[in-house]
Amino acid sequence: MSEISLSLNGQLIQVPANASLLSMLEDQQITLDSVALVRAGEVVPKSLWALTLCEAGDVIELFGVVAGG
Amino acid sequence: MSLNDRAFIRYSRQIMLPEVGELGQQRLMNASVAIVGLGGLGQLCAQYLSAAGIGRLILIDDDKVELSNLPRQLLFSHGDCGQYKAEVARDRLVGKGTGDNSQVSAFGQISAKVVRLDGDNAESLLSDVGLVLDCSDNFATRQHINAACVALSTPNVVAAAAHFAGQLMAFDLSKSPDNGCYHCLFPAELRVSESCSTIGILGPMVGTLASMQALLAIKLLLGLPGLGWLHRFDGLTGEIQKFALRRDPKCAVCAEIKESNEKAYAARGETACLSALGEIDE
Repeated sequence: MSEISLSLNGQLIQVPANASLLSMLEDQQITLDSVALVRAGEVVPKSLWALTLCEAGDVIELFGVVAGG
Repeated sequence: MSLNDRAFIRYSRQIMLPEVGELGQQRLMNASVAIVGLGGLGQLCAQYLSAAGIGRLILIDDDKVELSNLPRQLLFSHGDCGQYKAEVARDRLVGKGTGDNSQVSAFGQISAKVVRLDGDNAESLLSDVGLVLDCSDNFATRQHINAACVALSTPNVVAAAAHFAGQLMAFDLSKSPDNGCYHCLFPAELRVSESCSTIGILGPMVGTLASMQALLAIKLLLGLPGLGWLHRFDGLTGEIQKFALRRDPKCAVCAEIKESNEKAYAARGETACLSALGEIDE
């Protein structure tokens, strides 16, 4: 199966060409219930992770909630 | 409320800005704003908004001033320890003359509510303001504020800071529905480990976020752009990232509300058309 490369929090990673955001995060062993996801400068809501395919060259950022004040 | 000479002089540097002007200043003086949380964020936002001439400020917090607050909560002094933050903040702002409860027409009115905002009281606490500042220090309260703002269609300006990480964003479902609500970005079931009490914070770090939050709130009150973005500030590198917020179509908080709003608008439009055609009387 062909692979594509994308940037996850500044690290270049390889994922299967048909990987969804969700399967990519699972492959990377990301704790799913602790992060928000931004792709190409836009937030991708969690309910869309399984429906959104990774694309070659994607720039993806993950971050947690900051709640202090 | 029109500007008298004293107000004109007092706010002249704001009025001078083309983005504000005399009309903008009047908007600020007619505005009604709630600040939830009078910690590192809220105590500074309260000072900026009060000093800018906001007509009515409601300060909501059930906490008391503690010694460990003083390095970052500069509105409070050593002698305030043990007093309720909301009341100390109100009295201090009135004392500075930025708010004046005795001369209602001169400057803004400031009231203190010593109560913990929760799921039961959030809507009633926030029901009569035009804008809310979420300056709280925990995730549960942030969810309650968001749910109430969604239900009330009230703009919600959210800031948070812990360690060297800061986040700033603003939501207004009525003006910017595609950007969703706080829950679209951070669902309630998200795991959170950070708060100022469990992770350290420097005064200027939370002060930076508070200043950005107060600026964003004033811009929204003036009708300037600012909705729909998440800003992340890294206090160590000085870097600010700006991301577009997106609504979660399955959001447990705002999806139904948006749908019912759309139906209501559609129904209203339909009624207006029928009415124009003379098919129904109104």
